[in-house]
Amino acid sequence: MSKSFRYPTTPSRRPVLVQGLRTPFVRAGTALKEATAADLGVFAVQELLARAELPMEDIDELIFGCVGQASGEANVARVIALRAGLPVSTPAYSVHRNCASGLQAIEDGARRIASGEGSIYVVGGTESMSSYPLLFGKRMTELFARLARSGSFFKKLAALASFRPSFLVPRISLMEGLTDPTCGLIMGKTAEKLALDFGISREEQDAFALESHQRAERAWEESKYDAEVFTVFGPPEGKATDKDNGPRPGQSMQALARLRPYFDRTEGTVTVGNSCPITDGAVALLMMSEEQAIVRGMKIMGRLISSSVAGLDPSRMGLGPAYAAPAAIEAAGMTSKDMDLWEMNEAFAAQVIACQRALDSREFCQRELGLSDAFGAPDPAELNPRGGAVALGHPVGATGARLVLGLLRQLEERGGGMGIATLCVGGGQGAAQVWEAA
Amino acid sequence: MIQASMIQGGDDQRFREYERFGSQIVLQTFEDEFFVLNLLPASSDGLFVINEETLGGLEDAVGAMERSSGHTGLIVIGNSRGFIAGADVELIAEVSSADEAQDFAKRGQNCFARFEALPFPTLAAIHGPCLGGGLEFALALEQRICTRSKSSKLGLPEVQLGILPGFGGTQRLPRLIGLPKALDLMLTGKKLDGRRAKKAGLVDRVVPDEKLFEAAVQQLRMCKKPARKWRRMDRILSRSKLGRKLVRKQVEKKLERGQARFFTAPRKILDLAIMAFEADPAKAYEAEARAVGELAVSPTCKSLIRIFFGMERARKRHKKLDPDTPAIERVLVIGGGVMGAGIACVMAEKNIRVRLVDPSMEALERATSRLLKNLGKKLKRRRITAHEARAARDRFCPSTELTGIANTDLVLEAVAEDMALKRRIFSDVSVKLPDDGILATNTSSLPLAEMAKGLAKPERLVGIHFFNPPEQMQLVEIIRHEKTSDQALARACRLATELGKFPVLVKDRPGFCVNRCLAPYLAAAVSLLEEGVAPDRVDRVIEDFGMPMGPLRLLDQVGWDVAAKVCEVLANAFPTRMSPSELFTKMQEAGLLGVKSGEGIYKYGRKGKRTESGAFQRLLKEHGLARSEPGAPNDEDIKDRLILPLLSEAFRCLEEGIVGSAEDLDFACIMGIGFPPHLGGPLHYAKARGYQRVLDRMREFEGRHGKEYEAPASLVRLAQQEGEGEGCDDVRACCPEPVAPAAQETTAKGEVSHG
Repeated sequence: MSKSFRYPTTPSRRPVLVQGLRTPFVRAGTALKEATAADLGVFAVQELLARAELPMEDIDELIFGCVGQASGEANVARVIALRAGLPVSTPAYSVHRNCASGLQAIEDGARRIASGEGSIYVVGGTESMSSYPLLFGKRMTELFARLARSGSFFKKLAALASFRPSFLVPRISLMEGLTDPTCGLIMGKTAEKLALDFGISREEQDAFALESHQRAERAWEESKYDAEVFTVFGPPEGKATDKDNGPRPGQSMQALARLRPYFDRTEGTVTVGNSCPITDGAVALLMMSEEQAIVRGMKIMGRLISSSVAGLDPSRMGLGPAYAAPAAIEAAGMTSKDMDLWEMNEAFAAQVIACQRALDSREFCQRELGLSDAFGAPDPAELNPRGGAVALGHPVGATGARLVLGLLRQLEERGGGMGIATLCVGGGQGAAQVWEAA
Repeated sequence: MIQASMIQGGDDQRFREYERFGSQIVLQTFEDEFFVLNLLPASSDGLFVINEETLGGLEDAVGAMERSSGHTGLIVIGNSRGFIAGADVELIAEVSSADEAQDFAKRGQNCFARFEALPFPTLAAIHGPCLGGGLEFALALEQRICTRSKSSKLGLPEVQLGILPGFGGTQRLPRLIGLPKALDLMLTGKKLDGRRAKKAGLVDRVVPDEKLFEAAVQQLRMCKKPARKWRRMDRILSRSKLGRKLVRKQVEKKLERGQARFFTAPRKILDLAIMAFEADPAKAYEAEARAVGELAVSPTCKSLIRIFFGMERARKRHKKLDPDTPAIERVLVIGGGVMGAGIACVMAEKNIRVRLVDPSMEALERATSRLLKNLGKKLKRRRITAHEARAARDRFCPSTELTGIANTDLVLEAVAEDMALKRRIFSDVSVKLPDDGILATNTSSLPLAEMAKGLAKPERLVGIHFFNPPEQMQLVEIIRHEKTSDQALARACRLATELGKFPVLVKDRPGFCVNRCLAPYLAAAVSLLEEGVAPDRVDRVIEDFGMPMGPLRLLDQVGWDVAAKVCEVLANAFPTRMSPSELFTKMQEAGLLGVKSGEGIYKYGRKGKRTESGAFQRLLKEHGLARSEPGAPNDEDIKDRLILPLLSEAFRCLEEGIVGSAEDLDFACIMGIGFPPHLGGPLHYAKARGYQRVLDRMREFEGRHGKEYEAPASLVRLAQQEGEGEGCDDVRACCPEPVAPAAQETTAKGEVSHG
């Protein structure tokens, strides 16, 4: 089942993107490991608003996506808004649709513009996967509680006596977050499942991953990312980070082939080389109603045409785009061929290949989408031309916003066109947005 | 906010007026049980200070209470602006004889002693400033409670005015909190907030603002003296003879070092504080009053009070220019070099959102790291909380993109001293800057008038000249060119004040005030070097004179390249007096830039260790720069060779109206150059030394060393008047011809004709 929405075309209700920026995406535990999700969001929002030359007072609301919100930064969007210097009177809230959180933030801002509630929104996503903590297990937590409750020294001693070393085994919040709580599969295993379903070989996946790295590297070399990435002077020493550090120069098939499957050690095909790395990063976008953008003389980057979300089998969550993309494109009144560019998130190489196969499969499209014929997969050259998450990384809450930003930057370079940004979502969902470059 | 009703009763039936003593003191009763002594401010924006009138009021009030019966307690409470800000500084400034000051101190002592002797419990309910005589009053009461408000500040800052707490404070404070902590407070003059005051044992309870009166009543009704516990170390150091000896030794050692040696008040404070544990109280109070008398008429005290008034004037400067100056909240700093970065760091720490733009990523890295280091240090010393540190970091936005202009109150450029570059930046920025936005330059040498040419709104261009390092230097020169509007000046002054700096208005002339006075002094130091005087001797003589740092050390700090540039500009403007030495170029060629290159006149090792620089000595020899002249100068000659050019330039600055008044000029030289504070600034010093004697000395040197020592016209006239016994106080009036506004325009040479 998918839900889709077509946005109004009247200028006062039509959402457009006027400005966007992102931090470099860096592998967790590297350059930005000391920054929290809010820190990254603050950097992005401040730089965005400075470059947009927009008074902070004019913003109607700030909406940010974040999956692993730190306990010290609950409703991280509000934390970002206040710390970035937005007035206290500007409300802010955080959204969570797992990997599509960044896209959902855009969606929420856009829907508010479409409804006429407001006309200027700062949206985006942030994630510091370096900051995902280890947690004490339930029994250790109980022990702490007992210690705090017991008044006398002897009671405390008694409580301590119940301690067992096994209490200290931590719960790894990163692993828990990446494991589906209903089907019990870690995300990589859902990709393994798709590889089996669609008969995708290890070599195919590795080749895809290699292509992603090469495309990303080339795009950086050709300064294609310069317009969307700004330099972060991160804690603790203010060192400058100005580039994504995911793309590996000189990545090769041999190097990829040497990696052992990570999720199914003996029979699997999904490795850390053909999956997206754990990453830190934030994206901030400025959305307005078309009317507002024109009145302010803002350069419009793109107009949002339609969007969709879909639900599917959680153990095959990687197929999300195969459900969501057709729905969004149909809602726009178009077909697969009308899309000049696709930005499909690469959670796993296997999962993107599976989506391509599914969209080209008449049987899948008839059975699952109720179409009469195959919907039609994107031309591989027009799918993630600047590389995707396998190379750049996937800060889960931010990626959705990165896809839209990258999509519109590329269309801008080409002088216009129509494009789609789509992701698979842990928990068995898909999400997509169709944009027209201005 | 404290509710008015809590202080003055308002319509509250529980309060009843008992008696009024003058316009500022109202005695009430609370539920017919306690006395409430209200201290009202002199004016709506003033504070309660102790002067003839209010002290008289307090004496009458305590008399009324002594005569009363049936009351069981006294609460002394201030107003929403503060408790007591101390004794009236004007009063101290006007003291003309030691006896007069001593008598006033005795009167205060007696009055507070009567409060102390009241037959019922007494309590000070403190909110806002409670300083000097105010804290001494509170100490005479049995208990003190204080609000948590940030404005609550307790301290004994008398030492900063060259005097000491004279209303019994030197006795009561050590007995209350112990010798070490009391000395710390009295010798530094530091001010404690409620939390710290509680920790120090100065107050018994810290409460939310709204609960101040309620808590005061509660404390009195408890009928129990609050327990005050000393740390063991405090007990040993205060109560034992050996401990006190140890303390005395430690403190005396400190007082012999650095600038402390020029002040007598700290030594007297030390003596009196120790007397608190050793001497008969009556004698100790007597000694305290006598010390106040002696100190109050000392030149040091008069000099320090001049500085105090200078600070007050600076703080109020923006209000005088424009009573409703809007605050500056967002600043764009362009140029992330040493100065730009430092300024941006200060701003971020002081609540201003600052975007720092520089094309160089390395410069921005250094700037960010500088801020984080500054914050880290303060965090470690618990000067700020982790939240405050993070907020400061959040206010600091380094970027390589020159954007964020539309949303800015003030743009400050701190790029290289290149007129074309600065003009281009200002014209680029002007397009997007809001109409009321200010353009500011941190130039130290370029004329603003030229920078303003071609600007759409030249009236919004103002110079804000910070000194290096901006984190520490408290003076800021605010430069007005011919067209600068009062509004722009006022906003620049307000910004400086909010950064915790002292703004002084100066005219747009080469070197402004501070660098102009500094340059001939440094030049003289260099020529002494060339005459073969050892560098550390030059520095030592000047440090003995009272400057915090000798001129050659200062040159190393500033950097020879930077200094050379400033000297060049000044040499062009005043060629007869400030021709630069070729040593400047030679030093730069040899890479001896000072601290930043590790070697200048001195060699700088790890941990700031300073040794003689071999490279510099070789340089002197190689170029034959070190002429050994017959008759090596003595220390007195060295001092005057350096100081006289500075004095002479200060007189000229005043003649040309660079700075508005002699007081401000002295203030600028003390805060900007480090002119010995106890000497009160160059003009004050010249007066104290005798104009004629200074003039004679200048003429003597002019014959020997040249034009640099040519006496300024105003000094000649002042000396004349001095000889006639007229005693001219107003240096300005003695300027040859008050410069007419038309002549203020900078001529190419920067000289003004002395009609």
